[in-house]
Amino acid sequence: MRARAVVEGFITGQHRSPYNGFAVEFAAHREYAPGDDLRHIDWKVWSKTDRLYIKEYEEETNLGCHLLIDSSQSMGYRNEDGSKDGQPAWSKFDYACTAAASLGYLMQQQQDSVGMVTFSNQIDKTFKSSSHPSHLKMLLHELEQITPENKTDINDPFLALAAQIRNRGMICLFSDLFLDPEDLGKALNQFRLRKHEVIVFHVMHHDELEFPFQENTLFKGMEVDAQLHTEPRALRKSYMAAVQRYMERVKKVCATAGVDHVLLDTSQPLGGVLSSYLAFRTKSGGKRR
Amino acid sequence: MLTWFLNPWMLLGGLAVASPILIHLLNKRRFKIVQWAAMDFLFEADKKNRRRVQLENFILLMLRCLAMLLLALMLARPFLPSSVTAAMRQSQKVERVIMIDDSLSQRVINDSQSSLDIARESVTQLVTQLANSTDTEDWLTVMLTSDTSQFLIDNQPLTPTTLTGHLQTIEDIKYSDQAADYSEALAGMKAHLSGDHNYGRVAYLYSDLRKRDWLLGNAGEDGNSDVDSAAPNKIVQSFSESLLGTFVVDTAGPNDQNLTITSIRADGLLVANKVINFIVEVANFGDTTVADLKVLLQVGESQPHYKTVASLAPQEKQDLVFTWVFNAAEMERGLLDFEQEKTSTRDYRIMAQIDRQSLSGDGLKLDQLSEDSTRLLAASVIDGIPVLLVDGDPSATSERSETHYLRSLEVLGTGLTMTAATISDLETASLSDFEVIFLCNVDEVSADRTAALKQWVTSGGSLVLMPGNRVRATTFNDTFFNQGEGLSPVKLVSIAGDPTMAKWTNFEVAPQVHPALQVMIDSDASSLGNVDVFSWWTSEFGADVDMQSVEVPLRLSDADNSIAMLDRRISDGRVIVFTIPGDGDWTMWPSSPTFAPVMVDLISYLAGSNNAESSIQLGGSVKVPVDLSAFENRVSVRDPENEKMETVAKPLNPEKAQSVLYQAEFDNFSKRGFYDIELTRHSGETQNVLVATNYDSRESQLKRLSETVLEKKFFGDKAQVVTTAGLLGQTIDGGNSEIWMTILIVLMIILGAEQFLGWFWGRKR
Repeated sequence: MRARAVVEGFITGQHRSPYNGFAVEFAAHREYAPGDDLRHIDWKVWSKTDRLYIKEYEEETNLGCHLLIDSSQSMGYRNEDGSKDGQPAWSKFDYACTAAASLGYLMQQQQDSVGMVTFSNQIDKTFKSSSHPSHLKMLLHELEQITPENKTDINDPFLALAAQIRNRGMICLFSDLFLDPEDLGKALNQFRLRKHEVIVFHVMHHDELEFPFQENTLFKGMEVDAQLHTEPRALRKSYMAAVQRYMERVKKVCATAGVDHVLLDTSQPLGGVLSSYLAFRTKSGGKRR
Repeated sequence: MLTWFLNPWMLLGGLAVASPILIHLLNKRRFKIVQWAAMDFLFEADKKNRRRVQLENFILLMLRCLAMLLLALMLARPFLPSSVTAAMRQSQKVERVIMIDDSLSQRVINDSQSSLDIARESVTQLVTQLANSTDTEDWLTVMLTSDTSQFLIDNQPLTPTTLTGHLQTIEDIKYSDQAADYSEALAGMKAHLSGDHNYGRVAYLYSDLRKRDWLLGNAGEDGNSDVDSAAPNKIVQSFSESLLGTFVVDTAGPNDQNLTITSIRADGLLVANKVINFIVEVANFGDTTVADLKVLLQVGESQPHYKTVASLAPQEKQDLVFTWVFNAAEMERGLLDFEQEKTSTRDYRIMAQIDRQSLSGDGLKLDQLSEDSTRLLAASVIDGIPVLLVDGDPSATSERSETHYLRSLEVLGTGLTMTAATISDLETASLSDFEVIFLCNVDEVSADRTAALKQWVTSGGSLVLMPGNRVRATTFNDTFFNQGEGLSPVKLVSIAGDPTMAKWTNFEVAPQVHPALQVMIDSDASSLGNVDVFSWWTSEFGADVDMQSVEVPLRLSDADNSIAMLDRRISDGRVIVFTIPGDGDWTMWPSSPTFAPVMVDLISYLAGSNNAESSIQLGGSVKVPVDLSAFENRVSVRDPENEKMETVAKPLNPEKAQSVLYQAEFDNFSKRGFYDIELTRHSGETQNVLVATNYDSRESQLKRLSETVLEKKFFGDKAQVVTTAGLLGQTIDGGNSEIWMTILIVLMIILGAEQFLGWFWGRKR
């Protein structure tokens, strides 16, 4: 439900979305080569020129989209103080799920098939891609059942995934990317080698970006068994610098791999984040193909 | 070491140093737990900052602990003993500043020693002791309460070699015999003490602790003079703060008694051949009732007269009345003509004294201050009240002259000396020789004379105007009314009445009876009715006349109720205007029985309002007016010890170059007795003015500050009240320098630094 609300709000705002009215579009002619499907020969051209040309079209249907959602423990971070009206504040995982569902809904509206994988240090659950409307419902239902656990480790799961997903398609990764950027680069390359279109949605909690803590605090690691008792104010500057460095590395890795990197701040509304990203994709869409 | 603190137990508060540590530890236990994902970044940041944060926290903790310790230290009020401060100054120099009260009350005798003797002796002992001690390098300053503008000894070294000179100076201290003004004296002392110096100072105040000296007029019995920072004790308090020691040395007995004559005065003008009452006021400033106290009054060298006060209660004052008649000069003489000798005055030396012989045995203890038991009065007795009669219509026949009836007042017993003059005589007369001037039927006086007359009236003379038929209204008005600027408040309009003497009017006395007209009221109504007035001048008040100073005591019973007489006050003098002449041309009054008594009363009323003070306080100054038209401007004086001094009179009003009124001023008549001032006439004759000097009776009040007042730290925390015996045992450790103020400042700085660093390090970084 959340996902639909986000996307519909988003569609009304983006009337001239490039995905609106997904028509069969002519792309180019090329000479017939043995083995080509006879159905695609442009007979009109043949009758005029006596040559066999093949009509090529944009591949628009059957775009397989896979949503990769990090369900490690670190994604479970939420600001305990941020709850409103008895509802707990969103965790990063909630935010990631909503973003993923929104994308899924959007894709489904366009008759694309949507598949989903949740992972932590292994592949937790896999859902085959399908464009059937009930499929999305199932996915959403499944998402609600998941609670984040385990550590983040993408080497193994992504290797397996890369092998699993055969059709060229779109891979959307939702994760906080608390891992070595080198590993991330390797994992992303697995997909790029198989010509997948990859978008990294980097989900960061607002607290993690801004570190707004004031009082004496004991920080307990969610994925590592460590804790730190400190005065947050004294550390803030260094912390922010560390985050900044890390972000730079992640962005660099993504850029090297030719992967889009989108930072999702949990304090920002989803619609805005998605739309701004999609707008950016459209503009630079041609080049990336 | 504990003796270095005024509140040593407050040091226990130092245990509070534990409190910041406890708070720190408690704070460490109180924290928020956050499940955190991005631990790697946190560890990285922590690794970089750990040492710095620890150091900052440690510094803050130390500052807070230090603040607590300082707070405890401050509350314990530590001080540096004078020995330490002296050592710190690296100098053993100590200036001993001694102030000695030399006022009259220091003459009080206790066991055959006066308070000043006691003070002198004590100072001698103190100075000798200090000169021979080697503990400190002493310097000496000695000043007197009577004069702090110059010191007897001004910060001179005090060593065995210089001692003799200093002791001589101290031995030579004399009574100033004046009233002490402690506020002024102590302010002078404070000014000296607050001067720049880098050595220790000790102040010694030799005082007899009289209430009058220490408590200013409005201060209560309990010494609650907090409101007034100029109060003497507040001054002592303020300068004692910065001194090594302040000692108020008590030089008086516990309960000094005193009988005194507080005043002597004559009632009315001193005229020969009249009964004069001298009123002598006796006061008992002790606290025992005195019985059968004899007081004597002696005039000149004559036999003293005695009066006895049956009983004089403590703090009571009683008036004794001595009667005396001064004989006129043994000289037969008729009426003085203008060219003849002026009225002579003779000076008498009058002394009122408590007869100490009547206080037998222990009785002398009732009067420990004998000096104020005598009081002097210089009585300048005139043979008669000098009156100048100016006749505007003289006649060879005495009976026909304008002033005939007035002249005839000069008979034995009236105390009047009449001088007859014409209008031209008036132009050259020395006005200051006369108390009263009558202008009978005069309408014209030169402008200069008019101004001189005005000046004479202003300085106390009395002028009587009696216009008659020879007066022209315009001339009179120009001369005396002068558009309201003149001496007369009214201008003459016209002659009214019936010249044929067929009709007449009578006098009407105003309800508020003028002192000169009492006779008219007292006398028989018929005799009053017999006063027939046929003609008179009608008059009109000027528009600008200040009616506050004018009185109309006598009117006529005509239809307009015309003014018959008016009385105007002009500063010290008076102007009387009659609208009828002094002769019998227009009225029957001069020949009626009421005329003579009214005129005699009028003259003594006018003269009596001018009774110059001839007794001043010791140390005061005297101003003698000198009329250069009559006297030389060199004025000499003989003091009570017959030493002669001379001074030159200066213009009274330097702006008026033409003025002949000069003034000779004598400063500081500081000897008790009679000063004889001699003015020389141009003719070589001399005229004397006698002035008596008396002690300031304020000093007679010997009441001391009560013990309860003294116990309440009257002179502040640091000044000690000691006896002369107690002084020698004193060491100067009263000059401890408390340092809580310094600690407080440091504490504030530390707290400020703590707050600043806390903010600086705690801000978001």
